[in-house]
Amino acid sequence: MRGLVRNNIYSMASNIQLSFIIAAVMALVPIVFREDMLLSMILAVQIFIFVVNTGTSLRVDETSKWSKFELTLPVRRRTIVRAKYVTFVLLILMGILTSLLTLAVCSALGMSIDPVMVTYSYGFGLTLAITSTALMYPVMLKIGTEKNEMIVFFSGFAAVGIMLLLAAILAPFTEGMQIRHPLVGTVSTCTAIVLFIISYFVSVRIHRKKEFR
Amino acid sequence: MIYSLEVSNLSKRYPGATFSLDNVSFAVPQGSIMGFVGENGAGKTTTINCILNTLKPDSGVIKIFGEEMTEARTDIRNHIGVVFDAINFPETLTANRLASVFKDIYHHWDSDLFRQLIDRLKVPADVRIKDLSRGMTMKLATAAAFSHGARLLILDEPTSGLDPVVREEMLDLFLEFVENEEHSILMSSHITSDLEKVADYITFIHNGKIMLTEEKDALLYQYGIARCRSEQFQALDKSEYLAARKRGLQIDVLVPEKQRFSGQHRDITVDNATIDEIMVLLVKGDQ
Amino acid sequence: MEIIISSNSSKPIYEQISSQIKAMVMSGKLQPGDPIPSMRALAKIIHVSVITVQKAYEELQREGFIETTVGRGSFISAHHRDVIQEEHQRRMEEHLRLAVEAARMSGTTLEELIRLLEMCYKEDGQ
Repeated sequence: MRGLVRNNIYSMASNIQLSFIIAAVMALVPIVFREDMLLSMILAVQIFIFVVNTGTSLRVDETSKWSKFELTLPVRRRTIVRAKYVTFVLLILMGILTSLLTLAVCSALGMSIDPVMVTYSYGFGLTLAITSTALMYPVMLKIGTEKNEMIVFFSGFAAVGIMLLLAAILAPFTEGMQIRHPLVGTVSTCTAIVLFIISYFVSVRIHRKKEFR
Repeated sequence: MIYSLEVSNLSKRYPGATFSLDNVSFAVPQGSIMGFVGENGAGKTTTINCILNTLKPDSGVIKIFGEEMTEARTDIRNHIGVVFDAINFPETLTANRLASVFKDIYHHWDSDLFRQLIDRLKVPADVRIKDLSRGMTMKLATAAAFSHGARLLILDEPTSGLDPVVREEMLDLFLEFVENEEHSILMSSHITSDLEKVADYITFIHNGKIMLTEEKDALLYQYGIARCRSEQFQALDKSEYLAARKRGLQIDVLVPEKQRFSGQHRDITVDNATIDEIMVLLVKGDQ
Repeated sequence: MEIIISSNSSKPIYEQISSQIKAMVMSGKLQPGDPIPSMRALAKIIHVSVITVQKAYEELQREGFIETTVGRGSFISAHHRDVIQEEHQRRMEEHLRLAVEAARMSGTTLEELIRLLEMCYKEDGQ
């Protein structure tokens, strides 16, 4: 599996670099403008940005027939799927790392950091990143990668939708529907992780039955 | 006779399509090169996909090295080298990176051999695959297929789109591969001249059915194409030929035993057969 | 050992290989005990399929020109002298039959044919 993960990272290498650059540029905004709101948004997006490109990456795998060639390797189909999910986790970790760096820089520059705001950013960012990946991959496995941009888009939307839904459900506990409430952030993230795990098992099943021409 | 690959009664129907594989059976003897010939859409790629488990057959048994190949048998796949008619690998990788990936995946990856083959085939090691020409990509894929202890190579159009110089290099590689008598190759190809050079056996497929499996030398030197007039053709017995086809003002007839046929029909011209002509006859003729 | 393969010849490649090796043995270019490449090695060297070379070697083995031992490879057979004689004999018979056929077709008598044979024999440097 290590080889497969290595391959996934290699094949996304330029996308990862690009994401880093965008994240770095984005980090400049709150630093320059010293705006709290901006920082919160930026942190969330930085977590999400690394997984955004997986759609295109999967598309390229399909057109080059690597996804078919993979099956001739001495690996089980479920190992292939597992390697993909490990790669997703690595990408999300990269996002977290970048945002932590941004946070560290901002705080070193003397910006005031509101812990509630930070918790909210991470809750939102992680939920967005984890949920959209969890939704996107099995969908692409099932219906193909031609409409990958749309799928990524809708997965992102769905992620936001889920957060709103949870906020609504938790309203009684949070004095009215409050997205920024730490409880909402925590519950969303946990829900996202659960979805991610379920998504893995669903993907294994879909992949096992899938035919590759 | 030991067979590296045995395909028995393979059938596959695509839902909603007219195309299907119908009872495909053939076997590749150990130590040989088998050419797999058929027109576009005849079922070559589908057959190969079924053999490699990227497609699920409706019925049939596939044995590689005497054992049934299932998804779980990763051990067998360590010894099968594959080249598809595509880019095969992620485009952003270089040959070197690909080698590091394969080192972690195959149990018997031979880095030195891979390096030697890349050098010999003049494939640049640090250029991204998307920047390589098609010929280079195929050479790279072939080098990889050779470098992990494979005993069976399954190649889908490995020389198509390549210039004659590169093709000859590839054919040499294939012959080198079978210098070890435990190694075998199944290769599908349109370039019948390549097969006429190096193949030991040829299997013809048409419309999802196997038409013929035969030794290449037999096809070239024992089979013949008889050129008949109508009355001559009518006088033939069905058991004397495999296929016949009206072409212009004559009827071309595929006969499996040129000498005997000539002996019994001294008035009919019998030409030597080429793989191309045999294929066209099998495809266009009535059985 | 040099073998020339003609792809346009109507003679099957395995025949070309076996007849050329036979010729080399009969002319003395290959001596008893000389090694020849293994089937598969030769196939690779002259760029033909393995089975083709296998056929050639099988014929050569059958007719006593070569010997193949597992592990040691293929060698020109030591007891080929009789076989060479037989081969020469066969060739003579083959050619003589052709001459006889031509004679019959042209109405030449046996005596005239024998005279012709004498002439040819004496011509080619006695």
